[in-house]
Amino acid sequence: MQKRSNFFYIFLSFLLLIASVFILSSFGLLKVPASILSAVFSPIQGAAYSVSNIKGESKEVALLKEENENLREEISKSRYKEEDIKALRDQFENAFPRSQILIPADVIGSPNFVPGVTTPTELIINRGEQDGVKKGNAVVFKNNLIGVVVDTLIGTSKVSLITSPNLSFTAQTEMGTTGVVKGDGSKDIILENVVLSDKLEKGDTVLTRGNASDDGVGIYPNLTIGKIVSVDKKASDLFQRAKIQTLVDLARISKVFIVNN
Amino acid sequence: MQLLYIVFLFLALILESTIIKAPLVLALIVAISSLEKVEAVFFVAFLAGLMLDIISFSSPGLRSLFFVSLVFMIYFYERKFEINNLFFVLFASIVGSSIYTAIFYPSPFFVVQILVGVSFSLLVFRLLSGKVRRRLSYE
Repeated sequence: MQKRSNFFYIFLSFLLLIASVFILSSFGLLKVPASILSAVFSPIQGAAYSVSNIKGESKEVALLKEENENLREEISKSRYKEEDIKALRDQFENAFPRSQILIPADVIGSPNFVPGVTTPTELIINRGEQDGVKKGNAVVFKNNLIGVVVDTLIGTSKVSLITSPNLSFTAQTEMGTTGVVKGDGSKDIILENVVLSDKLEKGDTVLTRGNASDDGVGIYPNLTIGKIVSVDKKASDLFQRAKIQTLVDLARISKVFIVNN
Repeated sequence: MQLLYIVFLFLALILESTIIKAPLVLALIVAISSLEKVEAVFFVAFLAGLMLDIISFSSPGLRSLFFVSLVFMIYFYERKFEINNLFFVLFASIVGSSIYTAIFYPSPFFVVQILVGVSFSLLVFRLLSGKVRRRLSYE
């Protein structure tokens, strides 16, 4: 009985300790020790993540996939260039950012991701406030949008991926059809709020429309989100929607770039 | 013995925060609680929860609260149940992992996550129970 009451008092004192952790954390006073701990763990987490990321497919298949991805990018770029020339002719300003800086980062963790079972919706990367990373920065791989930075510590950051249901932004297809992109927590991403009269076709590449703020933080336009794999269009609905598949294997990605102006 | 606990804890922390989204740290705490009835287990639970929260970008203290409460529940019922056996570890890790997974790792594949956690708990218990018994018999 004595032992049990001892445990009760210990439990109470730990509850008080946890309450003080909550209070300190709400005032941001734990940011420095948290950053230090995070910096200590990030190289080990990075190594563990890299080991888990060893590709199971043959080199040939990987090369073909990469080549296919590059070709898609090229097609998308050339179509964009055509539109760009048109826009210049009409004396419209080209909105594509010219002075963007890419910060390379290694993926060191992927919360809520069970390999082979679930799709990653968040990534932890080894770059943080000390590297100039800010909340809202877009994260890319080649010309593909991967996600957006949602939380930062001194040496690490959390990225919400485009597959996450917590992330939504405006997008457009190569044909100029606009809509809202939102993840559903699975491999597919949804393009919704597309009016019925607009054209959506299987195989179309979906690009970002851009929502960067005046200080350069946000998603830049014309980054590739993915290609449409199916269209859900019913005459009785107000809007049509489409499923998009990313061109990047988010489960295997180990290096990303943060777009920072 | 303590070194073994630290090694397991370190492994569980790294795996849970990077590649295996299953309640590994919780599973380890269940196993340690049933093996060692000492106050230090509360400290281990608190520290492990805090570290896991920080390196997984969660609110610091949430997992600590869960782990410390779980250890308290296990010790609270130690008079009613024999906690130093495989069946109790199985029961506690199933209950603990189910609630933990629902709160921290909600996904349609929660059964797999719970199974991984429970298996890890049983494995650690089986690996360490012999060593603990031998140590207790020396004492």
